Amino acid sequence: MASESESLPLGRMAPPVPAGLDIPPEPPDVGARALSVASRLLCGASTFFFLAFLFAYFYLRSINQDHFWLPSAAQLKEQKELHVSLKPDQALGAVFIVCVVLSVLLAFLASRRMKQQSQSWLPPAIGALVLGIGAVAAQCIEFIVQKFGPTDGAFASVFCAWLAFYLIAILGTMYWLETQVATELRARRQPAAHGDIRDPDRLIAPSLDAAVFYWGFLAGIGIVTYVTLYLL
Amino acid sequence: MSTTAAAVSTPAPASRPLWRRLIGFNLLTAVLLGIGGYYLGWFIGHQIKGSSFHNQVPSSENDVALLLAYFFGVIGFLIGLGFANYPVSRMLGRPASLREKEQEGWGRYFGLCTDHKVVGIQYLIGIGVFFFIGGLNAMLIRAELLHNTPTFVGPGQYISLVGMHGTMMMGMMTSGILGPFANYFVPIMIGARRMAFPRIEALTFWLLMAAGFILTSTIFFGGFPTGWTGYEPLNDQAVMGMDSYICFFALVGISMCLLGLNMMATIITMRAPGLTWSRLPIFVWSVFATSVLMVLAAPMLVATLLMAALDRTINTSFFITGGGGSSYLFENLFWFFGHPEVYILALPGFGIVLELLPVFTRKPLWGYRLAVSGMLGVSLMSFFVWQHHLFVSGINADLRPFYMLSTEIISIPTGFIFMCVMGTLWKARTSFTVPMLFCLGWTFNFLIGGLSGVFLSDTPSDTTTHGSFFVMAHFHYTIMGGLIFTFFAAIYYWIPKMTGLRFNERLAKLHFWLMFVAFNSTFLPLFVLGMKGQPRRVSEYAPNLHGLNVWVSISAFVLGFSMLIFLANAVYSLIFVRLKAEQNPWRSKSIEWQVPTPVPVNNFEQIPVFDSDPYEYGVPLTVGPGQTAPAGA
Repeated sequence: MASESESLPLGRMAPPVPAGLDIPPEPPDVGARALSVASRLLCGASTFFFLAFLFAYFYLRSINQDHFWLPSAAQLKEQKELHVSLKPDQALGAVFIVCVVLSVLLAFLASRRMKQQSQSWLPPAIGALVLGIGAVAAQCIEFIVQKFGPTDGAFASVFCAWLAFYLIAILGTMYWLETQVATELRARRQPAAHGDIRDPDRLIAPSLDAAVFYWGFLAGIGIVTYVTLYLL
Repeated sequence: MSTTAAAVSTPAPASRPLWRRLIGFNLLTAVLLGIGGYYLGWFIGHQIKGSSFHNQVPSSENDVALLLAYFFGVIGFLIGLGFANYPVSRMLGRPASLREKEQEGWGRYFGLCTDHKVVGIQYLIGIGVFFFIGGLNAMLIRAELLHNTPTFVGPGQYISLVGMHGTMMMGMMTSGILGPFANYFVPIMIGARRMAFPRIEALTFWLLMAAGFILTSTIFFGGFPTGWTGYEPLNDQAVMGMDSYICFFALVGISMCLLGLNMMATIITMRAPGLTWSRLPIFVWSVFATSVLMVLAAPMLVATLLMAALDRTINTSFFITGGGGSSYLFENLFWFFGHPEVYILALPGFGIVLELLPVFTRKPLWGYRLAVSGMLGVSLMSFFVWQHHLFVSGINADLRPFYMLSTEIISIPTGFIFMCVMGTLWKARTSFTVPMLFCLGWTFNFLIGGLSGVFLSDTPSDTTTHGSFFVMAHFHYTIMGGLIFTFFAAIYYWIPKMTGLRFNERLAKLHFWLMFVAFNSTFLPLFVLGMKGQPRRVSEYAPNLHGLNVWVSISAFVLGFSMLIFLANAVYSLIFVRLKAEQNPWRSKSIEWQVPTPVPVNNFEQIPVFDSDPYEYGVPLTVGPGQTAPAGA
């Protein structure tokens, strides 16, 4: 009851620490756990971002407003559009998704080697980076050679916008991966430049793990993207 | 990470001359680079318009140029503040560091600072400024409605005013509690020394400020005619001011998502020993539940606005019917974010009320677990109700019962919160302090907001009242009555900790009573006006509604005046007289009141070990072996 409680001493949620008890300033694994959690949350955010495009795809396809989901050549000519084919290049699409998948596999390999504290994690990580950039390049070539633009109906709009934002997401992830590779290369080249870092791998491992997890997830979104835009 | 290079504790930097302090990464550089970026984008946009897009962009409008100008402007602004330094140095392989070296003095409030307490105060001032701009718009709206025909602003300007007011309030106040108070207090409440990602924390604030300026700049581009919802096809047909809206809300969405992500990562990973989930302060739980919504719902908003921007600039066909798109798609995507947004605004308010009630009733919080489940339940269910906003917009009739039911069911977890409030108030000997008055005000207002919401969740009654002042009255009772009252409760409660100063109590009580009475006097009659058929977003109304509208307008002016009393009190008490606050003026058990004021940069000398929950008022004190009995406040 309130009246009784008012007479009681207030107390503290966290009592004073007894003398001699040493509590470290911050548990050493806090940063690693924060990165790990953040990468998972980022997966959630990315899912909902691309979900908007997936929803748009199926919604616009199902209503097929004025038959403009995939307009015919005649319709496009009526709209004074010069392009007539709305089929994306299957070969380039396949190259794109293969690059993504191979890049992820190499990234997982790098992460695994890092966990085994093997120094040989760098080559697969660099390979993952190159293939990731390769996927972006393949899709950019597709944008250049395809015979339709974003104004050629609803499918064309979804295709161009969805893939463009997916490429931006890949580039962001490649940047994340690159920072790990660059840190390791710099540490090997100039150990003194790392100040008080006794073990650079301890610094890189959690971040690499988080980046690889996110990249794997993004590749999953990439597969859904590929199936939806190229195969359906 | 133990292996990071930067030291957490930093020595005080040597004092530099003023001219030296103006050179480098600071707000001045940010503004200059922002302006430079803006004109660069504008120039590029006009170059693009001159070549490949010349057939697609009307000659009088150049959305490409404006959107690029905003984009480059924001990038320049952030580079000027120093946000690019760390990513570039990481790209070059320099090791990770936890955060920047902290400065002392006033300069840290005007730049990139990674101290969560500084960011909290930056948020409070920054959001406060835009809150007052939004409020000023409301005063202009009510001034126009003093007459039943257009008087000092035309119908076009009127709808722009309504849009500015709604968008400013809904966008900026999304972080109204999480920005200032969660950033400041969550790390302290969980026994941490910092947020999980301090730079991201600072980034969320500066993105929001850039967004606020962009929205304000819409007046130079003709405003926007859509209200805060930005509905298509009006969105696509609007003048360039619409680009400001799109850019503003996209930036708010990014800021919101990052803020939520940072909060969740902090709460999950950085709790001190002993602070189990069941001991977490209820305010932290509310922040957690809100953050879930922010992380998941905001990306949907960003994606939707990007689609709208592409429709306006390069003529894609997401929402343009003539090209195979559908305006109804926009409305679906928008409300998939929009309804969780309502709870993003409301949930932190629940947390504030539940956090403060035990302090002022000197009782343990009644139904802690029920309250937590209520907040998480609201979070989860808010993703399943969005279609009730579209009952009259062409929804398939077969879907209506599902969304009607899901919307009605969401009142159950909300009811849990109310039950906990009532249970805590039951037979309590309440101290009617200013924060407590605002909490009680919330109880009354949110009850009316919640009950009127039931009518809007029902398809038949919603069909009657949709688009009328009834809807406006409902959401002002939930958002202003729910969020703004708790925002002020939090200000009055935590300002003594944040500044070491306190408000003049008499003026504060005057603020509350005037605000409470004027608020109800303003918004209660709007239910009647809505039932009588006055539509939203239109300045012209039937002559028989004139008397009631005059009453509402005068009440609104009094409500605005109450805000001036608050402002005057803040200036008087915190700047001129500088009324000193006690160390723990409310005799709270919570840990934020047990650290010194001002709170040291690193919060704690040692990470605390928690051994009780924060609401054990009235529970006999146990003192463990080797511990000294703490002094009661």
